[in-house]
Amino acid sequence: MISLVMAVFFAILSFLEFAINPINSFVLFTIALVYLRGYKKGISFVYTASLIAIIFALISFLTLVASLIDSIILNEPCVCKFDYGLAGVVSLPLLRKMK
Amino acid sequence: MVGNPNVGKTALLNALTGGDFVVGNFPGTTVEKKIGKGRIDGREVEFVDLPGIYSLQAYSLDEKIARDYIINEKPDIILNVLDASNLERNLYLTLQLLEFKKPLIVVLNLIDEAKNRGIIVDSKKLEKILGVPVVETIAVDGFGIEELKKKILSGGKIGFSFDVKDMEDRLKLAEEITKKVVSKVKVRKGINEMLDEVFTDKYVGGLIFFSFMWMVFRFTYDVASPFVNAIDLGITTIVDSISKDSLIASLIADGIITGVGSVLVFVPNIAFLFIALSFLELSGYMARAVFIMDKTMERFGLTGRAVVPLIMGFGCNVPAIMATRAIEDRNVRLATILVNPFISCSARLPIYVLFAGAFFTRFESVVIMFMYLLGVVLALFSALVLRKFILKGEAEFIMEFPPYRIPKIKDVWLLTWSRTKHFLQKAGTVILAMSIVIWYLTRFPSSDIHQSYAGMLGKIIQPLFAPMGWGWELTLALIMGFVAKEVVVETLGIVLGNPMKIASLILPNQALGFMVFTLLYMPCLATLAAIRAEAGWRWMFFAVIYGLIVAYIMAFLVTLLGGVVL
Repeated sequence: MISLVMAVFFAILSFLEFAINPINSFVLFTIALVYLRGYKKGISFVYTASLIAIIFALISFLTLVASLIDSIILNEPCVCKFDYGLAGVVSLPLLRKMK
Repeated sequence: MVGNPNVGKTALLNALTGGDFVVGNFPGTTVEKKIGKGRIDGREVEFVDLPGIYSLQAYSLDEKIARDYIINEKPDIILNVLDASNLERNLYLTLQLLEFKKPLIVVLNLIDEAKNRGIIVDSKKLEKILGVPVVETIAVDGFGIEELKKKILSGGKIGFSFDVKDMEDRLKLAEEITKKVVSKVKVRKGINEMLDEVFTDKYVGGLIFFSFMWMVFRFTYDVASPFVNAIDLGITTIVDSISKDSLIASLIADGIITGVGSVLVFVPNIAFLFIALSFLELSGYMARAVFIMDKTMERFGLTGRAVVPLIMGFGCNVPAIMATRAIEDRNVRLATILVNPFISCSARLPIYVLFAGAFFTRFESVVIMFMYLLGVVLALFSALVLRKFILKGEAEFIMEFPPYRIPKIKDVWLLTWSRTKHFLQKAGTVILAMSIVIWYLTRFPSSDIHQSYAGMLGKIIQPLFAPMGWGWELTLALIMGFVAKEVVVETLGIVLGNPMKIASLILPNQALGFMVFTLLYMPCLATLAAIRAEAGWRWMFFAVIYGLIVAYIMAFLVTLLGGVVL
């Protein structure tokens, strides 16, 4: 059941992200698909989907931090590179539980 | 040291010598022999790490290297490194080595991974069957190394002779020995199996692969950005602080610092790309990517084995071309060598970063990824053409999966450094020399750049590129870029003062066309030398002419279509 909930959650994130960055949206959609496949095929897919979501959230977080540092170095107003991939952090408790 | 690919020979070499040789988690990390020296009880011992091979049949070049070494160099002891979790397949080579009648020690490596998979090997029994010492090791943790050193000092043993006539006999014997010494215990479905089930899934495996590739590009461009900007700021400050009254001061500021600096500024992008690729490689994911891509490769007349050199090409085409030695089939090997320059090496990254930043703000990562994908598509398409019309024939490929491992920071660092170092060395040699040459060409015989040698040279060649609308500055950069692709950005830096001024010279569609041309036109000098060494003069000239034709056509089409879309 959790795989289905997560699939819907990431599908919504993918939809929201599409207008900001279509390729980020593709990654979120892929995560949603892997969760969805986990509903039928079992724990391996849920585990891996959570792992990918966490890695993507980490990249999104690092990008956000990098854009903040950039604005300091260049002495410019901050253009924070926010994306919905950050929300992938919600998979962390799931990953820890499965481990 | 001889053994199958990816059994930990290089890790063992490091453990025995205290060396810092680059370790991979990918079959084919070692394509040439590595030599390391260590001391055991005060005695100096030289270890030679041979490329990973499955047999001594000498079908592929790396098998030939290993076989020739054992026969011609007459090593004192052969250390046969085995993967304990895959004993049967590894024993085939052991049985061949026993036939040489040379002192042998069997090193049963990766016993921890075997145990995790429920595989227990009775090493004492194996020792009795083979008649040679068998030592259990976990090379990366140093387990068993002291015992191995003692056995090395004792000299190894010439093993038993087995009555084997051919390959089939040997395979059968390896199977029988394995049955006698290996016992299996039931273990829970491990993380290896769980991840493999998903990463190699026919529906989502490909999507995951492209997702990871996208993450690599975001990491390379977005996350490295502050480092790039900091270095850029530093270089600009230094150049601005130098008064350019004298010729020498101008050479230092406008020539050397601006030229080398315009390339150095992209070192963080390159280092971050290598960090990401090292993670994928060391974690074991890259081998799954090869599996996913194998079917696609087949469609283009290549085998999965060609994926390794193609992926290595993202770093540098020179070692990638050398890595084709592991391909048994000559025609597949030649095709892989010839299409490799289309794979976008790290030296081309500064060009993409510069142009994407100047013309496609907010979509830099997308444009850069497009360039990489275009390179892959054209490489595959070219392979198809070559295999269909020139280098015909069928080829097969078998590959095994290395286990998943959490990459060690030290290994990531070593792998990243060994690759980035090459780029820095170029900055200190070729690019420094080119800075002086380009500065001279832009200053003489007249300080007016239009009347300089550079201006004249650019203007002579420029009409060739008139259909794409590129000025003489870009044409000159392309000519200079033949030495090394980084020199393209360097030339623009010296000619324009600041490479970002390019935005005022051309339109976005022309910029995209230029990026495509630099991706595809002739390989750099070092790559050409590698092609000549591996394939000969004829194929080297073929690579140059083919690259130029494809680059021109593609750049023209992209500029034309881009003019409509952008």
